[in-house]
Amino acid sequence: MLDEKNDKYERIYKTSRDITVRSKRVIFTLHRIPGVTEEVKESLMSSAANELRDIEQTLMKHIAMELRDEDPHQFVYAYTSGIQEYIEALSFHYFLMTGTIISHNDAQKKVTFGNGKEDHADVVPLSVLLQPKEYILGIADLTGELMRFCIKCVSTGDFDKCYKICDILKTMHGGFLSLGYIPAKELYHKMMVFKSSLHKVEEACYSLQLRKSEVPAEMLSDVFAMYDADENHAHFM
Amino acid sequence: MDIVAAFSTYGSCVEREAELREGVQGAVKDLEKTSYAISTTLEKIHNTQGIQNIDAICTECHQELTKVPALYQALQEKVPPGEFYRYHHNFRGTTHRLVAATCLITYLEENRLPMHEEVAKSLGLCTHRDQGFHLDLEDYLQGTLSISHELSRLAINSVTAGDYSRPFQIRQFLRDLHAAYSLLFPKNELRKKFDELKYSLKKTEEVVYNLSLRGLKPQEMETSG
Repeated sequence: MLDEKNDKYERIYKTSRDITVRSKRVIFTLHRIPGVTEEVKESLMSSAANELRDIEQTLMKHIAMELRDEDPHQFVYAYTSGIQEYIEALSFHYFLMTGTIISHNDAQKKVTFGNGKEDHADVVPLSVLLQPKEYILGIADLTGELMRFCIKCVSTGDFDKCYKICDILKTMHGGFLSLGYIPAKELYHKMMVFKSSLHKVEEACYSLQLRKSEVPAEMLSDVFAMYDADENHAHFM
Repeated sequence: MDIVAAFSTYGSCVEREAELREGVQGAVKDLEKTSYAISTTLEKIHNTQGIQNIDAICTECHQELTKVPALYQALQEKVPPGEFYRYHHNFRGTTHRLVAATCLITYLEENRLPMHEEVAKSLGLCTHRDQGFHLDLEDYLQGTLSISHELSRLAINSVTAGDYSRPFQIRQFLRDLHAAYSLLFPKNELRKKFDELKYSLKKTEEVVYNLSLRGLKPQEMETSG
């Protein structure tokens, strides 16, 4: 009995590590987006989507099978890090597609299997329990990724996106504030990291605004032909 | 036999205190909830749309703030008379946040710092220990100092939103605040907050410097800066 449980724990843990690695890969893929052409962007997005689907269909499903007829809370610690990283990748992809944050329900649906028609074998729906805590921790990690993405957008000249991310991050900061004090060490730590990345983004938007005001002063003559020039100028910032 | 009696008196004391503490913590929790709601609303001023709608945000905060006196009243009923400082640490942080929110709202609306009495009144408290449940002077000072960080953030964000005159106002306000606090020789915790104020002032001055350097200083402020 005990050995069986330990083996199961071990197997889930291993799968969870694979999920972490592959989710990280998805995130790196998405980070390549700023500065590339529209077609490359499309292909990056779709390859990220495929990879995510693959993670769901193989690794997540594997965990779900292991968890069948078990109390998932017993094994939560085995897969918590993997699922957090997965939520991070999933929500990052979702954000780039829609510009908003994925809801807990939608995320849970992603890791619930067996409702689909193709799964005749599974009578009981399989699912990986996604606790609200894991969800929120994943979202907290997302803020760091958004910060990096935003900084990268500055360096490639996609200013609109940069302002947009800044606004989203501020709204998220408000959201985290509304939670009040949470007696969870992990989240507290992540909040600190989030605050510093929010700071960085705000600073970046601020200096962007300053630089923007410089440009017209330098070349007042063709203010209206500026848009293209602005793009080029951005590479030297 | 005596020994057992000694322990049992202590035991019942502990029990009573645990009960009291629970009551206080329950009341503080309600207060906390409101204070977080206000902070969340105030956070909106940093958004691009928020900077243009500061008045609306302040009105929203006022609505939340009207609930506060009743909550302090409830807390007061839980704390036995004469034991204010025994439970002080339970609600200090929340009080700081509420004071900071009140100060920030008053600053945004009227461009000035509210007095100790004024803040106490709006929270439904008095200012002296002998009058009952009061707003400790140090709590007031702590609260006022915490707005410096928010203001320096607001200075940066208002530049992003294209409002170039606000950083100049904020710098002036922080300068006055700094000058006033320098007279106090703050110690311990206050000292830490005071350092934060210095840092915020420095940051705001940098913003002002950057704006002036690029000729973005608004016309009507040309003489006052």
